[in-house]
Amino acid sequence: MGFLQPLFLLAGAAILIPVFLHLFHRQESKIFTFPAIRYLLRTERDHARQIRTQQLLLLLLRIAIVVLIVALGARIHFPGSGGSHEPTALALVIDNSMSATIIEDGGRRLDTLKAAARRSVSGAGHDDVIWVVRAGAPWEPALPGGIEEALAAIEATESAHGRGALGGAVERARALVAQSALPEREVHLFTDLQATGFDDALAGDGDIPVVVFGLPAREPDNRGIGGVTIGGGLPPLAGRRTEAAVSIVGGDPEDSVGVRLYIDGQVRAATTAPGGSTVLLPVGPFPSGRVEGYAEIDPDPLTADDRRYFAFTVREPTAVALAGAAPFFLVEALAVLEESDRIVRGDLARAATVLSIGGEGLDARGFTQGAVVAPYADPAQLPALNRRLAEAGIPYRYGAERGGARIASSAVGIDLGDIEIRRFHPLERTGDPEPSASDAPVTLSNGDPWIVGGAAPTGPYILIASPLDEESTTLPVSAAMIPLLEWAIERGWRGDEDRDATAGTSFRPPATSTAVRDPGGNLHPVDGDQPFVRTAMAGFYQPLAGDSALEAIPVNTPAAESDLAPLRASEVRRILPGTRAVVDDADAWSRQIFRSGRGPEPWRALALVLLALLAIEVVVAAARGLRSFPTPTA
Amino acid sequence: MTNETTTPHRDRRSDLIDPATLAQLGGIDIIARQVVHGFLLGLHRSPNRGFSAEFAENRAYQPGDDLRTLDWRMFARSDRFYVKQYEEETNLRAWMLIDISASMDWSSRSSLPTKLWYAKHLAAAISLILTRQGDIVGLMAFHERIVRQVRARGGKVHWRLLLQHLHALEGGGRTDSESAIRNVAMRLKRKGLVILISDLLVDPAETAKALIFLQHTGHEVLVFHLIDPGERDLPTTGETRFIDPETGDSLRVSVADMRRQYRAAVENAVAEWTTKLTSRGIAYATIGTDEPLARALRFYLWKRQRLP
Repeated sequence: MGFLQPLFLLAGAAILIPVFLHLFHRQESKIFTFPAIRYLLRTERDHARQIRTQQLLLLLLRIAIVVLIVALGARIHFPGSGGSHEPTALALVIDNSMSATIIEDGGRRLDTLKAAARRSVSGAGHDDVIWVVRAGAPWEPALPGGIEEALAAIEATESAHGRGALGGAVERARALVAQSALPEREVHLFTDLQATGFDDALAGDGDIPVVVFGLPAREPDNRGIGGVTIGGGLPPLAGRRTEAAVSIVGGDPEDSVGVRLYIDGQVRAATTAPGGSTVLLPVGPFPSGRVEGYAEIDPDPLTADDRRYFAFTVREPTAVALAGAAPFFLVEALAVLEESDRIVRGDLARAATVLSIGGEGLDARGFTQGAVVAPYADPAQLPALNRRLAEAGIPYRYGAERGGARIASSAVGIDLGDIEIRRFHPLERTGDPEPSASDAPVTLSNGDPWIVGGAAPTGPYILIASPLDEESTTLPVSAAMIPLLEWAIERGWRGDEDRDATAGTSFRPPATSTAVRDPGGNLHPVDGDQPFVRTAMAGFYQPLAGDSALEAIPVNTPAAESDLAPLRASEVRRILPGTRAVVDDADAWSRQIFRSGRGPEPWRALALVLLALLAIEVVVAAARGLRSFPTPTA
Repeated sequence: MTNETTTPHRDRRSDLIDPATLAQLGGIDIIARQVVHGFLLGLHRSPNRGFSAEFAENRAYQPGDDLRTLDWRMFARSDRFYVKQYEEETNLRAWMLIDISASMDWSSRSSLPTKLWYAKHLAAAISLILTRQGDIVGLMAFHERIVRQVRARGGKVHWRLLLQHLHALEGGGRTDSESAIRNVAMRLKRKGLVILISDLLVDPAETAKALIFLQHTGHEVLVFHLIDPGERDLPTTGETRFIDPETGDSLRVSVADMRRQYRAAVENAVAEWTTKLTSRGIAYATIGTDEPLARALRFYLWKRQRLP
């Protein structure tokens, strides 16, 4: 309960008037000679209790009337929704992730969420400050505004093909409203309750309440393309056929779906495959150069993950020079690659990639040559290796030998899970900050990188932490040896040139880029040194240098968004501390939001009650005879 | 003829004039005469005439009537012919018993006459009627005791004597009607009509017993209960301390709280008087002091008609 005009409460002192009259006015009596006093005595004797009851009733009525008048004047209001409320800093978090594009009951989930967000804004007041935060990646800054700005922002909210990071979005929303000086703060979250959207659980106890509008929990059957791998992860060679592996996630294993592969806008392969399977489609041969395309399955209600874009570079065999004393299995692997025409052997002067053991040959390579470096098994050679790295400008040093680790993660597209690392030398970065995930494509179970890569002033490089002999690691005797070696040779030559990205994340365009054209044809100026972040939609993004297109970078939907399993309300409360309520209908929503505020002013009801009390007071007073007293005539 | 200060307008019967106006006409004798004259004139015009066959009356002249019976004085006053009709003397002995206690000398508004004024003029009018009928009439005034007594006699001279006594009456003292009435009963040896004019602000039970006792002694009893309008409905507002002029007792009440119940109490008291007296054959009438005297006179004549 509160008052919009609290100063008027001072008029409440008027309550003392009827009380004073009731208690003390009798002392202000006048004297009247009256012979029929015996009738008065009889009346008082017979009706004393009734008279006292009437007096008390009148006193209570008059006090109630004064109280109502004061309440009306002070503009009383009660807690609740539907009326005005205390000025509130309000952040609306709209889950516009890929899953919100699904069509249900004839409409998009996102449209339902936007309608709920508009209901929140309709309940807001002109003293409120509102932020609209979009939970779908990529992150976009939210600007404070009023009702009009919030409605415009809601209207402009479109679905993104990125992942919904609701935990982070709510944290950002809380941070926004926390900086406000307004007396009340609330965060309203509008989501389809997709479980993967809550993977980034919040920290903290949630001082600022969160009200969640969650669509009714449903898990429609969804299938999508989880990935497309060309040539088993290695770039195809010019003039040779290769295979595209298309992974279908979700869907009914008993039900087949049509799969089509498009290269340069034309269908190059097609088949059917059951849900959850991976199908191989033959493609090629291709001439040297960049190839772009996409795989597609028959559409379902969630169409965003039914297409997956890819791009690869078809190359000629890479010239490789071996420097240093290579272990046996490394030599054999190079021979296999050479015999299969995947590489050609050459001297240091003409090689595209130098395969350096113990850092040898680094001093002789040219600026355009890549380097793949592995240490000798003899630890005594380690200082020489580190000295050569320093001379080559490579910002890593090999540390003291360690042992006993397994490969924890690999981003090279080759299964390294069974590889045992018996010995390795920790790769320690010098000077610059810790290597990023992209700089360490393979890491160990203890967190140390096992392979690092980058571009030094003297050229691109790949460093492997273990000697490539069978005593240091099981890699040389595993099936992964040859593809990993080829990957290292290619990566070591070209550096990280095969760019791809997930919608909502960033990619680094070529350094000479001046703009990036998104799938919608919009141009975004870029600084060649900065990553490009406006990847809301899946499709091909074209970095441009002036008017020239440099390449096409495929951006795909995150695989996690294809999993539409919803969370229960109780799980949402656990994951989002400070959640006030999780509701799925408009009426409940209206009751939960702006609860700390005030409900509508009940002036009509109070006025009616006041009129009723006045009427009762008149009746009771008239019954006492006050208003029926005849006017004396002259 | 008469001037306007002493003679009511011809078109207005004095018995129908409200007491406040009537009090401005003059002395008690003039008022009594005018009231009685107007009252008797009204009887002739009244379609209800006939109940007064036992007393002398004037009736409208009809062809064949003896011209000697024409009342020339009435002709002079009303421009109409009336004949006089005479009855034998009734030998009725009437006593006017007037309460002159302090409560009678009170009116709720300055524009109203006091109950004592009303009582004196009512007594004068009735006495005049009695005298004109040839009856004899006496007077007793009392409060705690009988303070004035005039023996019952007839004739205009006696009536003027009565008027002098009535004129001299002043209110005061407490009312003890019960002992006064019993005293009257002891004093009156011959049966007759006893007319009590009082505000009856007395002990109802004891006073009723005394009146019944009076009736048992062979008298016919007629009670005029005078009530000031302010006694029917409390005459003031707000918090008031009421003081009894007779006893000096006081009571502080909120008039608004008491008004309705007080009005009911008065009505109950009147009903109580009515029940107690009329059930024993005692004629009883409440007369407001703001009412014209005609109603009281009609009530008297109604009672007079039923006397044996």
